[in-house]
Amino acid sequence: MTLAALNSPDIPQGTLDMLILKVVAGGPIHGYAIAQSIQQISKQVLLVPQGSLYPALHRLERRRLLQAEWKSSETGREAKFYRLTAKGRKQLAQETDDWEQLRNAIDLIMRRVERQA
Amino acid sequence: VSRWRKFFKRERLERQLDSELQFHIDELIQDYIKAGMTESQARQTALSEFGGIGGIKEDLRAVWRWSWLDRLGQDVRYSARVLAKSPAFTIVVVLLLGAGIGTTSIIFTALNAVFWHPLPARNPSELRTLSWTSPTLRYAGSFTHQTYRQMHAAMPEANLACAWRLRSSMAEWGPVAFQLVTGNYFRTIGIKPALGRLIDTEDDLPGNPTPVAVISYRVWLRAYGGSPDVLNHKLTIAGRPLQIIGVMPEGFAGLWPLEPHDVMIPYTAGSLFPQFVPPRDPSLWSCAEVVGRWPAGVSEDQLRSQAQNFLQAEFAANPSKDSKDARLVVSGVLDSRGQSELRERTIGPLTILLVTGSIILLITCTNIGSLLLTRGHARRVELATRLAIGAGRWRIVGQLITESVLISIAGGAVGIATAYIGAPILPDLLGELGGRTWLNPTRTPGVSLQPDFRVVGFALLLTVCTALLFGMWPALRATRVDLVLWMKQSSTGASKRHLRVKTGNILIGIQIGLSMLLLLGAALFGRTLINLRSVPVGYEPNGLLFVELDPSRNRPTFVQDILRTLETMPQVTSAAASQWPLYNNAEPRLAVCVPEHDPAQSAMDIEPVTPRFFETWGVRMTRGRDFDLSQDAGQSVIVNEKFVKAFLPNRNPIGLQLGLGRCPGNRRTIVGVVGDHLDRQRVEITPMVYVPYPFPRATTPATLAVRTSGNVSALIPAIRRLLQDGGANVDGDVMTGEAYVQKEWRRERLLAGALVLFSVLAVAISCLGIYGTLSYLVISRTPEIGIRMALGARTRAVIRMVLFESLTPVGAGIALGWAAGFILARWVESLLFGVTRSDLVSTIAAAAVLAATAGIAALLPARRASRISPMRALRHE
Repeated sequence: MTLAALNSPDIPQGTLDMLILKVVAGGPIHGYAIAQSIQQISKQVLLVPQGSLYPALHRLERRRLLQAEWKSSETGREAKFYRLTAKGRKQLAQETDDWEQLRNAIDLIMRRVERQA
Repeated sequence: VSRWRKFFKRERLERQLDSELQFHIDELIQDYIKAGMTESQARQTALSEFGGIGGIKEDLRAVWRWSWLDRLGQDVRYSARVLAKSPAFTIVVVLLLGAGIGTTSIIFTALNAVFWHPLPARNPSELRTLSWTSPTLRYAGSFTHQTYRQMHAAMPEANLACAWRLRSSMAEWGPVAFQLVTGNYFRTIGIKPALGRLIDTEDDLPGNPTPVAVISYRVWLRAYGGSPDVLNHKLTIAGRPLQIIGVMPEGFAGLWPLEPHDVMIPYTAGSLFPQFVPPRDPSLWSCAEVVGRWPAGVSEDQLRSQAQNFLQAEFAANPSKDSKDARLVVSGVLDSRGQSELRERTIGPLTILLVTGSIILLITCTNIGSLLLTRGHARRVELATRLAIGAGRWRIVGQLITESVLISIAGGAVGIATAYIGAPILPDLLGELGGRTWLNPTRTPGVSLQPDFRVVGFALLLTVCTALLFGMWPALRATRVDLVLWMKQSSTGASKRHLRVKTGNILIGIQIGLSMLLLLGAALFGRTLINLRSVPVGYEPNGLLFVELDPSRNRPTFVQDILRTLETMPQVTSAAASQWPLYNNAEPRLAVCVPEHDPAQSAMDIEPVTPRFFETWGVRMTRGRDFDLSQDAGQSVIVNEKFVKAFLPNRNPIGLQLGLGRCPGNRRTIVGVVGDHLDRQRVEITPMVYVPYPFPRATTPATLAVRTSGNVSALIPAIRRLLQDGGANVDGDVMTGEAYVQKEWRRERLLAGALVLFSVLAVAISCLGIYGTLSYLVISRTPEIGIRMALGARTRAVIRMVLFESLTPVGAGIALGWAAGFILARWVESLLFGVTRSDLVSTIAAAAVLAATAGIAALLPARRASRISPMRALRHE
């Protein structure tokens, strides 16, 4: 593992699913690219261990939030591509809302505490 | 199987998981190569970054698993494959477990029948029986029919029914006890017929032209083969045909299980059987059993006080010697004497049997546990490999426990089958344990002794418990492995091995101890049986048949007539009558006045016998002559040798006189002396005085005996028919002399048989345990033994070394088992005969048998150890 990975913060419990849904919302994408995307977009802060990524993907697939199909990747190999279902889209919207609310709430508390300090 | 797998698309899923993860790894490698690594570096980095593929795949499979049921299916399939790979191990373990579960379930079937399922009635707890008692009355008092009718009319809501128990008549298939019941009897108790219908009010109207009868389930099976055709049959009792209208449900033969009634007839039909019913006004017949249904909420005190009034009115009109201070008794049917007697008589022996069965099961479990420990060791590489490629420990524990559960389910199935196959022995077993009762000519209790859902539930519970008992610990043990150590080399650390051998030794010690306990019991009861058999009974049981009956309601010449008919039968060499059979547990009770002796000491048995009685029973005539009715009536007596020894030593007794009754008594002349016979096992022979049978009257009861030169059992149907046609009132079936003698030690025989069976099982199981533990020891010490042999240890020394390993647990087990046996035998000492619980022969025999079989079991692994090739063992290391 790289040093960056060792220093990176854990992805908060329960948000990995939301991140995956968000990344997949951009269009059909395979597991490796999802991991790379999260890593790159977060500027190497968030590293998704494979041990969590694939179980999460398969869980979402099983819950029919994602749909998978096998097709050729950019390198010409067969890869498993995931894409959002209608149900997944709804779930993503819901989770995004929830996340907004949660983030605002946490921000409020953190600032108040700062002022008091 | 392939369809099954296709259904779950398991293979496709596996392929997809593989290629999806492989794709990821390959992409990583490509990226690292792009970043400037060599291909091998890139591959290594990618793989280490990716982590345990096995673990991830396991997680992914977990996502796609249908449910825990699916995982269970996988475990079951894997376990079945593992078990099928060692069929000998599996079969032995399953059979042993099946024997243990089966035995325990059979005994539980009896307990279940006696304690939790005594009556196939509707809400039996609502049923009450009425009776009365007084300070002078020894048994439960009965009511006149008139009182019964008054109580019935005054308390219609209870729907009181009345039953009048009768003695038994003889039918083609044997003695049959029958009972008169009022028309509402079955409705009150809430019994449903197994076939046809039961007696109802219209059957019990006076003057019914065709009397009817209802028979019990077991008579239906025994005498009519369970055929529905039985409803077209007539049952003949004392020459009276009764139309069979129905069959009672299984397990019901009246409310007294120890005195079951196999035939019920309407109360008014009793007038057809003057031999069995007192020839009195039917309105005065007794109701020996008054039973009613008390709905919840009705006060029992109210019932008692109401019935008490009728009882007092009855006694005011017809006082009897027992009616003073008479008190009415109301009891629940399930608590009534008839029911509780069966419970009281059988609880002790059944508990002993259940405990013994549980001990067997416990031995089996510890044994299977130790075998699994051995296998756990043998499979350590397999398990370590599976752990290393990422299987969770609990997953493997679960799989190992699944193996145990599979074994116990198979064992439980064998056990339940054994319980169903073995259940038919229960009526006889319970009859033996319940002991003899006068009004039960078949000697088997009237309760259903079939395994039911409770028994199956019990067996399933045992199955689950045994699986956990023997499976959990070895599974935890086997998976607690030091991965690195086990992968690097196949031998474990020395301290661990010692711990494991020590637990194995403790298990063996326990098993040997329990086996010793059972063997000692078997030896003690075996010797008791041999001792009991070796005591001469004093007559010749071979070729003897006899039957006990009550001729008091037959014509006066009944016994004489039957004797005459018997004598004319071609196979009969002699026939005789007496009051009691010989060997009848009689207490000396009548006074005899022997000159020059204290009459207080001279209470003894006086037995009326016909001429040829001694010839028929095979009692030796030592001096004088047999009775001759024409000259001996009221004049002569015959005494036994013991009498001569006790009262007339060194004198010729022939011609001497004694007095019957208190001195001076009725003078009688001694005309003969006969050999002694036992009255009862374990009791001193008593002096006997035989008097001429009081023909033309008969004694009550009377015993008819015949001696035959031919086949004993061929004569039984002829005698039964004779008694049936004559309307005899029998106290039991026609019995052979041999069965009669054996009956006396039935408890001892039963216990000895059970203990022998159990101890053989226990010894077999413990030997298997020794074999398993020592095999394990030899496997784990293979390198050490190899070194020893390479350094020059001889074969003998190696064998001795392995044998010595088992010496301590076997020795300690024998000692502890003996001590436990010595202590426990205190409670059965009264059943022993001719041996004490400290009996040296039994102890040595039990210890020798155990040591020898244990030695053989230990020798096999020891020989295997001695054949270890040093080169191979060392290379192995």
